[in-house]
Amino acid sequence: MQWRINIPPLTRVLLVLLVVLSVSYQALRYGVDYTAGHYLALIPQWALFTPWVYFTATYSEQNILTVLIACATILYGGKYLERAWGSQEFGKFLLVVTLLPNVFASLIYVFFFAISQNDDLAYVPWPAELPYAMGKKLLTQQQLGCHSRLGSIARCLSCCL
Amino acid sequence: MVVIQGSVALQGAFLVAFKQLVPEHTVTVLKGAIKIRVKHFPSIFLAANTISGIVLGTDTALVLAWVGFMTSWTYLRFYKIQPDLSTASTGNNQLRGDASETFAFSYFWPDVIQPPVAAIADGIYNALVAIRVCTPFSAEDVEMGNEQATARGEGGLPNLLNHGGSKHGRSKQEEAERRRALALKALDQRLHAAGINNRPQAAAPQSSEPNGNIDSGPSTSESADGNQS
Repeated sequence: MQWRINIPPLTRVLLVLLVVLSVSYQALRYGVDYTAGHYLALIPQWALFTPWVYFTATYSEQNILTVLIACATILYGGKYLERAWGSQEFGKFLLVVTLLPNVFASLIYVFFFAISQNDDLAYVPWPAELPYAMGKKLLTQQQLGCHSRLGSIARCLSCCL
Repeated sequence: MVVIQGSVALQGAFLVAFKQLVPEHTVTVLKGAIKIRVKHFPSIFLAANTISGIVLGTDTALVLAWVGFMTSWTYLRFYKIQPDLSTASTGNNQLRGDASETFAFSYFWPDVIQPPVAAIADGIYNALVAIRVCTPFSAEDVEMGNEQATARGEGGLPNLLNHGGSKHGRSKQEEAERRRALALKALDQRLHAAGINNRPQAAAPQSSEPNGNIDSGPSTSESADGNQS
């Protein structure tokens, strides 16, 4: 088939990465542990402990429809842009556009949690350690106060410490 | 628990890059029912994601789309090193960022709201220049950017799947070669006609003339064929 020859190298790597990571994400979530998604996807509080997710989150998709859309995006976008710019420039662009939006999006969400103080959104369930997390929350609440901004940010972050 | 995941930022970024490279390319969907120019793609994408985020609650896609769009535009406008397409020299003439006027922030939005957006964007830009975060674009930079944009428009780049059948499919080189082939054909025909005209006149005074003409005929047609193939 002719299309196999026409895909430039970096695009090929990305397509393989996309499929592998998406399948791995599903395998982690349903095979290992339903909370294991934080090893591949970006959960703002967890990402500090698994920093590679700022890159892998873009390529690990949740369902087959988004996998197909992402495949089409990378295929057509990569074919055109890699030929227009060259592999190095395309690689640099890709790094910028993968890492920075994830970083900014997680910052926006942390800020949003801090403002809205919506604990349901902020907490990451970690079943075995739940009493520990509750204890930390109470401690920081005591120290920093429930109603201060710093206190609410600390509450968000303390659940994983 | 918010999970940020997915290639929405990538899609937004690619659309901005497409707009920079081929803004006037027309894409037809549904066999000619809908015709969209590539320069409108980013705004349609952002509008769709915004509406979906508000109505359907897909807020991560909304945030990622906007952030991807902003990151990509900032990088392409101010930081990316562009190869120089308008001149024949290679390598050293690389400029940083794309200062062309058509890639300004306000041109991403519909015509109606462009003036207020331009005013706000200029204000932010001047503020950033004042605190020395951005280096200001000189008139030279803007001119270079505009030249690059026209050079791209004349087809110095590979084309997409050619949905809209735009003229930008042919590159400069192919056009030049086509013209060269046509010119050679015309020249060949003229020589042939001149050769036929000269033979009856030359046959009477000298006997070597017809040989000379016959020899020159095949050789010119051979060389023309060699060039055309």
